[in-house]
Amino acid sequence: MIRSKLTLAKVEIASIVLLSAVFMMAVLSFMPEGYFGRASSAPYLPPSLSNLLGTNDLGDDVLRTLLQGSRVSLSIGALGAMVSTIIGALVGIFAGFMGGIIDEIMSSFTDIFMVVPALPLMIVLAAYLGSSFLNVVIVIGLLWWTTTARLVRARARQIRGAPFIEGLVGLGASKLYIMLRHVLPNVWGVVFARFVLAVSSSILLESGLSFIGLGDPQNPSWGMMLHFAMTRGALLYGAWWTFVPPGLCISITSLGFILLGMGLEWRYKMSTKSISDLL
Amino acid sequence: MVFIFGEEIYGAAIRNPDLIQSLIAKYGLEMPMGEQFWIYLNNLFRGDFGYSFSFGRPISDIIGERLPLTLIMTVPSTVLSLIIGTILGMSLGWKPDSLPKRIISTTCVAIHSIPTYWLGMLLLLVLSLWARVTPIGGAPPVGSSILDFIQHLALPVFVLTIFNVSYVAIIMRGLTVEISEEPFVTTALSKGLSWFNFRLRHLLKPSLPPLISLAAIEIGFAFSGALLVEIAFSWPGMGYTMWQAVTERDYPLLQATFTLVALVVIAANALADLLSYLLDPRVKS
Repeated sequence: MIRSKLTLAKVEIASIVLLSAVFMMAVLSFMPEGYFGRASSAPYLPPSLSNLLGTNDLGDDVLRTLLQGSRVSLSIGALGAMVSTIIGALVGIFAGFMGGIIDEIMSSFTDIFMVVPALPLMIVLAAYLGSSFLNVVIVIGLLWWTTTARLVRARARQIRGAPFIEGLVGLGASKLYIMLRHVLPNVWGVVFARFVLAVSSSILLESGLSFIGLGDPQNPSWGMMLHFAMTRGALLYGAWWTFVPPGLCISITSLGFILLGMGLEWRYKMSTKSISDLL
Repeated sequence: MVFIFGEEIYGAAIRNPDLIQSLIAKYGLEMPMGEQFWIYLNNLFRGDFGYSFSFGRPISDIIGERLPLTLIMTVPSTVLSLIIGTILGMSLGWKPDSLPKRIISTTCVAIHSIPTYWLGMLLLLVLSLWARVTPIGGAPPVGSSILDFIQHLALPVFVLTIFNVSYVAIIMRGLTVEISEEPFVTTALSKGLSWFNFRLRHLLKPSLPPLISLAAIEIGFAFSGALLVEIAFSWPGMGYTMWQAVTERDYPLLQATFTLVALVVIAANALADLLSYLLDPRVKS
């Protein structure tokens, strides 16, 4: 998909435009109450000058809920991606560098996790752990590290054969030291690109979980807005302003992070195929 | 794991002491945990998934009713999307730099970042509420005509197919790009093979093993990914049942649906491994 530097620049500019719009929303959400029209009024008011995006079933201003939701969705996306990327990077480096039986065990463990359909398992976990901000982050982080682990492992295996590693082993450096000081910096590009792509997936996963009703009710995210629109009848009422904006926001944010991640992968000269490992 | 968590829930949701007694006796709930797990496994192999509290019925009855509804939605969309996605991805990956191909590839990535259920809600809004072409969701009542059934089924199948096609196409495109750089492709082209023959034997055949494992993932997805679409369309299949189990905190039902999904996925992957063993000479050696 990415052919030249010009195309890369286009992709990166597009992603930056999309993402800055979303971050702007997160910043705007700190504006004082009632800045965007009245904080609460009659339910299901269509968009007007006093409520730019209308009101929802409780009479809350949709624009305000949307802005506050951006904070929740972005932070869960970033934290979940961080947890999953750290787990994936550690597993990948360890398996790839150690090799042998450790590699075998960790790789088959990764394969098992890869095959299990993530969403039902997440639903089961989230249902038992209870819905809170932290639990959603944990559930996403624990189940979304497999692709990262695989890519990092492949890269770490390449590095293991490099002459400078042999030199370090000859100098008597410990394995842990080599892994942290010499292997990790070399897989950093892969890890970072994976992190950005993981943000996109965890925002989608979080909204899926919230849509089912397993999000944190204290911190309503975009997915939760869709959940309420579905379960409290906004859809049947035809109140499109309550569910079109949050879905649009989820799509834009997720697309922005995917494009950014694709650009990064290309910059770090990773295989073009890894775009296909989005899921 | 599901079993351990679901432990304390039995008996909490029902008020009928006779039923509690019979359930305790049947599932050995007063015995130690290891023994209970053994009984649970035994029942599982006999197709007894336990008792649902929110429905007040045995779970195997509920599943027997709802599994066909999921299958009738997911089987057509999975088959369709594997076929369309493979053909689309192959043509996108062959000489991928032309402008229309790049636009279509980017669209596939963009579709990937739209929440499935949201697209479902939008379609419901436009087609059912505004245009009144399709029903608002749910399954048709028993005994309704085939036309009615298709009307209810059309939108969910459409949404699922669009998403699966874009996913398969992205992956198939990557495979084709990789394969078309191989020397044997140049050889095949210089032999002057026909267009169809070339596609079939030199582009499709080498990418079969990864495609088969993709198909296995798709089958898992057919059960799990369809979940959100089922909820959006109130289509009472397995995913919708799982959602009801979550909202009603009906842990035995949740446990049963998840176990079933896991079993299907494991079976599909075993089958995929077997197939790629038979097809790919490199795996054999």
